[in-house]
Amino acid sequence: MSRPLRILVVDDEPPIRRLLRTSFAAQGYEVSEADDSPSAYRMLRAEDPDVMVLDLGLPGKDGFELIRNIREAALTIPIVVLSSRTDEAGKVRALDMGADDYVTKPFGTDELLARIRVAVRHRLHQDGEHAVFEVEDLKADLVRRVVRVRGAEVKFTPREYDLLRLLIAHAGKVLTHKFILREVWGGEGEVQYLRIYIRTLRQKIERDPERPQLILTEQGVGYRLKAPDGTLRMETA
Amino acid sequence: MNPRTAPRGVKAYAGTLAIVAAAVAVGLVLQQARIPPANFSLVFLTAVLVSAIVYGLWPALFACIASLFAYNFFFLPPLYTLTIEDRSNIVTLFFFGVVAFVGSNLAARVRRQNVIAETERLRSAMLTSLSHDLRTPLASILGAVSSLRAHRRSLTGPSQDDLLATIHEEAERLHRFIGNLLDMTRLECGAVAAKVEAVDLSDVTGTALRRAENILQAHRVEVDIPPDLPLVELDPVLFEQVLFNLLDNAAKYAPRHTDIRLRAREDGPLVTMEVADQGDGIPTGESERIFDRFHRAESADRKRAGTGLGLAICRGFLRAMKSNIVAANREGERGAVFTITMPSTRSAS
Repeated sequence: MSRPLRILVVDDEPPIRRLLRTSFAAQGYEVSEADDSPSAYRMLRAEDPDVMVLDLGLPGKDGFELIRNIREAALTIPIVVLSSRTDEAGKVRALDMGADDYVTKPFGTDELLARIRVAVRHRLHQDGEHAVFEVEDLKADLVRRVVRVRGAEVKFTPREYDLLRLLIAHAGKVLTHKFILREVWGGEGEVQYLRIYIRTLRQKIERDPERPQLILTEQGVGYRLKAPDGTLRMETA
Repeated sequence: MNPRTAPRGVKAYAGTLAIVAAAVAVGLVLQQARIPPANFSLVFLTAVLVSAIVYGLWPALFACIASLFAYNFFFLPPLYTLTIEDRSNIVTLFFFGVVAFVGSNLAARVRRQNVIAETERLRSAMLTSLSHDLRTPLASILGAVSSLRAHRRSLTGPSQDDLLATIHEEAERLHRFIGNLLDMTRLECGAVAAKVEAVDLSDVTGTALRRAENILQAHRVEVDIPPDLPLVELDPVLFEQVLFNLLDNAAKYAPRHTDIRLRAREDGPLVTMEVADQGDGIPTGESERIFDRFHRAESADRKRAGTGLGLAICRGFLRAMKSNIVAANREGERGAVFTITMPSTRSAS
């Protein structure tokens, strides 16, 4: 049995809610709406949605506070944040506080839907890692530690491999510099190292390292590995 | 005090001190020539008026006070003290103070009026730009939407797609323009705080190219960045915007199906990056003016769709991160080339 994905939209702007309601419904998703943090929190408890789309600039108690409340209550609902262009610090802060991803306003609904699918998929598979990962030219066998690009095996240093493996484990999701440094360098590295390792990885796996298609930079925030495409239905037990 | 007036203020007062110091130097030369010190007041008066014209009222008043002390200290006996023996010198000093005060007020007023005239010119350029650049895309969007709503049934599939594409493109144009306006406003009110870190130039180039994909569809972009180029000291977010604006500019001014070339090179402690196009190039004598706000290079036959903000933002952002940009025409080839100079991380070590 499967049921449609349930999305909670939290935004104080009625036109944005209308846009999201219409677009999500057209995809066969169920949509509920809230226009401030307290009502969002109540609906979260009452309706148990699968994912939340949250505008950071809510009146009164803002989006950051809501994220904190949700994570403090140990709720694991994926949160995709709507943020403004010039607010990289806000994006990083929301991610560090436990948001899963973000899109920048103005956004295309296809982009937002892609982020939502990735965030939900990661919550579902949080413990189980796939043994083989494949996107475009890149094929990684994580059990045998063999990575092929366009069929040819590519060698990595242990650190490069750790970095690639981390990106693969979170494919499609943005990872902040801080998160990557903590996971791969134990928090001791500097962003500078990370940039050099990313450059090396790109030179090894991208067709054109100057126009990367696999490891994408989110300027001022972090990196995102392109995710394999896929639609999503919620499986009910 | 906001962060922008602060360094500017410090700069103004430092400049004022330099002017007064120059007056002291002139005074010392005159002293060697045995010219009576009472005449030196005119030298200091000149320094005060110059400060008023260059820096405005408050630095000028500061120059007044500095001059009073310097005049007394260096030239009125007993020398190198702040005491005065001769009563007539007290009178000289007093009237110097009065004249310098009145003079600096007058000179500062003249300066202010010049600033007001410049502001007026800018304001009218801005209003023209605003009304044109905001209304044109809005008109297209509203027009396309109303056609779609009114004639949905009679419109063919391709015409509907055309109208939808118009809405999309024009909305993106509007978005870019508003982004530029916001960037300019942030620069104007000193809200641009550069977060400089070690950045991989090919990385920022990649994101700028990705963002500019749609506007570069009709051009070929050639990227030439050595794989071992050192990292550069930049704010990656601001720099991406700089590159985006340069690409946007090249796409606007260079004809379709021409090449845009991005080339980076290490140059001692610096890294230079060139953005070269194959357009008409920069009109003679305009290579600095094109960085002015609301300045657009216009040729007689074509009306440019530019906002006149992009290059001003480039320069403003780059200055905020201690880098620079200059424009020139390409040597031996058609087109303009913009050259950015920035510190590499090797310059620090």
